[in-house]
Amino acid sequence: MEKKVLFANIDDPKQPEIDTYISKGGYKSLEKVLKEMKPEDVIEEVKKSGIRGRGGAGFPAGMKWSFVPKDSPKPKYLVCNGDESEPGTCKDRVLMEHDPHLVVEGMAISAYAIGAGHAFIYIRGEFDYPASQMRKAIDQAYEKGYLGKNILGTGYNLEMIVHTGGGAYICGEETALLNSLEGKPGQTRIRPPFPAVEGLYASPTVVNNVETLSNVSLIIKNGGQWFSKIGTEKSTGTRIFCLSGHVKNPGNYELELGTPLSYLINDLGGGVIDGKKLKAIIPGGSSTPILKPEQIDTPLDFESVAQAGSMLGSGGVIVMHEDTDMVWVARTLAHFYMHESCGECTPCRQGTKWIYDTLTRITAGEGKMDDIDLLLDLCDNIDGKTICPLGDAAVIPIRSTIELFRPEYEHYIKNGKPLVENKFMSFV
Amino acid sequence: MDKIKLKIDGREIQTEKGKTVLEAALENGIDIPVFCYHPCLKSIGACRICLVEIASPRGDQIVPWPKLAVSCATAATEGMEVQTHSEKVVKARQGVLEFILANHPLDCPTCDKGGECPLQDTTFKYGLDFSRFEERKRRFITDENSTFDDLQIGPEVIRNQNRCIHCYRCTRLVQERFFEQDLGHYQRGAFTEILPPPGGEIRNLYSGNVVEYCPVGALTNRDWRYKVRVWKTEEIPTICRYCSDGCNLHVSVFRNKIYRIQANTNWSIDEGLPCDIGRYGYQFAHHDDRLTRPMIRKDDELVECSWNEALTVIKNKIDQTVKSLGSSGVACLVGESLSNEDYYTIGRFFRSVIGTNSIDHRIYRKKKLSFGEDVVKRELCWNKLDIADLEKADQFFILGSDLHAENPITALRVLKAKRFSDARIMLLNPRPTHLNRAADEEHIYSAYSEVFLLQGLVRLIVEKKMYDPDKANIKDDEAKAFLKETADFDFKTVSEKTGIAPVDLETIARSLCEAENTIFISGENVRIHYQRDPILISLYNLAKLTGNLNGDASGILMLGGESNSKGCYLFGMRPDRLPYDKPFEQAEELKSSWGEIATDKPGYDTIDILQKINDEKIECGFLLGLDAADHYPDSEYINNTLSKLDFMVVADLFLTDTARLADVVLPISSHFESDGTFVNWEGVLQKFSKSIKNIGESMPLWEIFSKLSTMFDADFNFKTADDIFRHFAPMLGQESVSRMAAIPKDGLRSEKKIDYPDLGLMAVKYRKPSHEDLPLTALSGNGDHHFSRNFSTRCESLNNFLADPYIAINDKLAEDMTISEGDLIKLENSSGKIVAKALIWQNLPEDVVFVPDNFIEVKVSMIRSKDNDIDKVKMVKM
Ligand SMILES: Cc1cc2nc3c(=O)[nH]c(=O)nc-3n(C[C@H](O)[C@H](O)[C@H](O)COP(=O)(O)O)c2cc1C
Ligand code: SF4
Ligand code: SF4
Ligand code: SF4
Ligand code: FES
Repeated sequence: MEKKVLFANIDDPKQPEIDTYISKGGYKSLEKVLKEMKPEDVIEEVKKSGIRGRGGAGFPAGMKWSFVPKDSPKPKYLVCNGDESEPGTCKDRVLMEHDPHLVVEGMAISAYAIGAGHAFIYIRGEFDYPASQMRKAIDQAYEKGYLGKNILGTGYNLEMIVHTGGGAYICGEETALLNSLEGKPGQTRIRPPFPAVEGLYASPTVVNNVETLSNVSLIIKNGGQWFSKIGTEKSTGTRIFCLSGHVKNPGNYELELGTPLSYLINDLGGGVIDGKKLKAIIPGGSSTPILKPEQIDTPLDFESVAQAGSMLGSGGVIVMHEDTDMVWVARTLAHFYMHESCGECTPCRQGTKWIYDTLTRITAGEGKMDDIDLLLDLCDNIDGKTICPLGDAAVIPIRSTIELFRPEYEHYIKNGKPLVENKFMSFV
Repeated sequence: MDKIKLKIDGREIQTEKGKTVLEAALENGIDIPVFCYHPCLKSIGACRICLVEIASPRGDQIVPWPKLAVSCATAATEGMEVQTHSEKVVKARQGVLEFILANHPLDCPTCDKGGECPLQDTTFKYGLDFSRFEERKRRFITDENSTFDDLQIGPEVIRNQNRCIHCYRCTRLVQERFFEQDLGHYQRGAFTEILPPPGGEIRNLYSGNVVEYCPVGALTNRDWRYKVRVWKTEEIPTICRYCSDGCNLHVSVFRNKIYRIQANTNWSIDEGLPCDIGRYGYQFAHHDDRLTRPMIRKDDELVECSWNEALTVIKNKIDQTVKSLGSSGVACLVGESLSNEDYYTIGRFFRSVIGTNSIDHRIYRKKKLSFGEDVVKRELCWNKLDIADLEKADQFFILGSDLHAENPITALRVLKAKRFSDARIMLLNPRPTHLNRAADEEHIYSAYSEVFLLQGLVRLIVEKKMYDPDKANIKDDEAKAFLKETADFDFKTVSEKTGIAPVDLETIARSLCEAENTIFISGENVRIHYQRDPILISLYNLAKLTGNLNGDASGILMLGGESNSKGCYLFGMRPDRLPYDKPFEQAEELKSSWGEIATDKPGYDTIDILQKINDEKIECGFLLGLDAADHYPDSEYINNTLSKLDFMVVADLFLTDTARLADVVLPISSHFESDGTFVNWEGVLQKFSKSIKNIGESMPLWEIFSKLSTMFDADFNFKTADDIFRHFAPMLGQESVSRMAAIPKDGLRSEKKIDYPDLGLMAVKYRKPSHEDLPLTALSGNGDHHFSRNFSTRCESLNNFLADPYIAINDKLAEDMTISEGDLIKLENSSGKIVAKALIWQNLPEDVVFVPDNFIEVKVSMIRSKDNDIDKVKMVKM
């Protein structure tokens, strides 16, 4: 069901002001943490909540924090990932725009937990407004003494810095993000070493998504126990789903995990537009496999979506109706991944281009039957053989559309035109 | 080292803990193809060609990994089982290769890399013989009229982006190892381009290495391309003739012509990364200026003659001089980049055949140095380290050295220590030097204030008791005495004299005391300094006080010099020492093969030789491979002196300024035209091989003097360089090496790890330098991509980096005098003047000008005077 936890104050136009935020009990969690809790206790509480990362991979946040070596002589860093570039995803933006202090407070608590003296928030280049909202909030927090030197007289120092990106999807991937933050080109790093051991400036670093960190102050305020009771046993809490595509009411909706997909699409989203038939659903951003209409009752939690053959991903739910040309969808997404491939590793750099070239030929009416197998084989030669998951992600829409809509490909190849006349503007 | 066991392709192998799967495989002869991997670079796992299948033990089971892993970046661990040829691996590898080839132009027939291309070789070995790629190949069009899309991205590097396989070796090399930023990648994905920054060029001192690192023909050399196919050339090993690092190189020869030089990796010296000077610095060998026949002065003009005529004249003149003045009427000065075989033969000729010990190579100094016992004793501790030891240091204290330009390979090790173990670099120089790109601290001190700076630091450490008493080994009364003796070197005075702020002095002192291992490096600026010895003693004091006298990652290095400066010392090119640095008292052994040697008294050194020429006590002078007229720091004096010689023989490759003054000019062969050996600054003796025929009638010096010996009834009978080597081999102290061929591939290293005695602190005196009362101090050194004189400026490629002399001045000074870059300016003092274009150099102190001393057109020696310790000038805008 819809459950406004992160979004509790999202509609208050005054919420970005620090006074409003404080008047609603804001920064109390930070105070409590700094004055009453040891860093280990904070990590313990977050572990208890069971919260898993909201950036895409769903890694348990508390566990990630506990990987930071305690005895390292190097400084430690917290990085909040606000690069939000996964097609279909627009939730972090709303948090940064409308409740920036929730993000700041969450970051400050997390920084304290891992022993960081610097916290960065990396915001995608196009996010001018969210970045200015964050800057303003951070300035206010400094002014009120929630950031900076000797916070609230506790002796804890924390500097918080906003860094905007240059407009690359890959800079949302944590290691490319760290390179970019260091002023280097946005290419990824091979793991291990993992950022928790060797991240920013070769020092222990925790990277978490905006939504993940926003939850932290709520977890401290209400207790890990409280959080773990929301959602399902293994998928605790709520998530913000970004509903887009052929639905009547697109937008961001915060749901308790485990809520059926149909509730989001039909009850909240008002169902498919123009009375058309539902054709396909991408449940977690463009990098997740497509679900068929008959899977619409799948509960939105990590396990159920995985069981349905897809992933919860970044929460970007894209709905497509019967007039959608799925080969065109594949080509559009192929273009995205080709364009965004950082170019570091061979299979992704070359494979995404080859796939796109082939799909372009097919949609231009010059395809051959063998091309379908070629595409699948190219996918196979990329999948699992790249440095970062962008390569794996790039093959998902291709495989998924071939698997579920192969006749559309065959029709294109046989007849030189789509089975479903494409009604949408092609931008690539 | 901990050993671990693992299985690769079913074979049980052992390796050291910390190695990667790839390294373990390669060590054991198991082949895994690579593109982006290079042993000198951090692995990034980019190309994916080295994918393998791995399973590792968990509990008592061997669990397969969910994905293939890149062997170049996966640590080998105990009990691991690796498959390099399983079905999955073969499919993935072919997939990667297919991806790489998809957009590769496959223009092998017109590609310079063809024949030595890892992409060709790997495709041949692992590839498919058909392609499924039917799309249009990606093209980077830079020139619509060109089929090849070549783009010149630096003076010597041409890029063809179509061929690039994006292994990022080039950019990693430049950034990771060279600490340069002049090559990077731009755009994204399949459209990623390798380029210098906008508006820039790749022109760092090591830029040619990117061509060798490129596994395809995407980066090629301007100098080499489209000239000859690699399978037609012969690769012959050689040693660089420029700086004293001694890089190992390969000469590519086709039909008796050198086409290029490449690295010939010696892991203990160059790591396969020679600087551009060594790489392109061969071109002088085929330069039109090469002398091809002997010349003799007739009617005041040099005219070509036969060898016989030239040698006969020489023989007669020597006889005449010996008759009138005795053998002391003959003297010989040599350059520092001749071979040991040359030095040995020259030494034998002058000492045993003529009977004179007046032989020297130190032309760079104006005045005699004391060489007091204090220095000689302390001298023992210099250069005890090997280049590779630098990697282990925590800190470098580099003083009076443009290390980057004087010893580029040593500089690379310093950078390596910084990159891989975070070593600190402290640079202290009277002018900015390019190593500052990686320095943690750079301090520009007032020119010639070194003694203040060093003794000031020593005093500071003693006074504030900053030293670790366990390491410093200094008693209270000793400290007190030192403080008393150095009372003039108080904190305030030192700061004033050096121009370095008190807090900085304190930081330097503190870092010196805190680091575990510091290496002190000094260079040319100290070698030619009028107070060289006090500087070295102070460095000794610092090293002692901070516990850095001994140890395998600490000590003092005295660098600079040329490719065989050390050979000059070892092979007796000094008036007072015999080959292998033996004193005269130990001459017996030598006499048995050389015959009689005059060992009653040492000969004259350079300063005395010049004086004796003026006193008409020396009449017959030999200048061998040495352009003394240009080199000696007082142009007027040297020219006057040399013209007083009754008879002057010059042997060189070119008609140098000195040769023009000669009575007989002998054409000598370059080191490409003979076998021979050099000794680098570490003391490693390395062999170079003849790669081309002698140019014209030129001969190596050893051959000339061997021939000459027959005219004096003392036939040395040296037919080959090896004949000479065999003569001195027993002195090298390594029984197994009796012939040149037995010199190990990475050189003959002598044992030198003697522990150095602690001689206590010794206070030194500052002596005020003599100089003219003019506003600017003239400093000189190597210009970018040049080294010493006559050779590098005769290499087209090096001139492509810097072709013209210049005078560098501070920006504020330029502004005050309304000088813009490129304006002609004149430096002048009572010795003479030089004119060159102005180069504006921020950060250069306002009272200093810098002039590269590589160019024959602008001789720094013109404004130098032997009567002044330092050369001051005034500047005039032309
Ligand atoms: C190609 C790519 C793009 C990504 N983009 C984002 C992003 O925009 N925002 C984000 O939070 N995580 C992104 N991620 C995931 C991050 O790498 C990282 O896992 C995440 O920030 C960790 O935060 P979490 O544990 O809180 O989810 C991306 C990953 C990949 C492979
Ligand atoms: S998978 Fe793609 S985005 Fe990721 S490192 Fe490789 S080329 Fe870059
Ligand atoms: S230019 Fe050569 S070395 Fe550089 S990335 Fe391309 S293929 Fe690799
Ligand atoms: S000049 Fe020195 S560093 Fe350069 S190649 Fe020659 S020996 Fe090596
Ligand atoms: S060699 Fe291992 S990934 Fe390139």
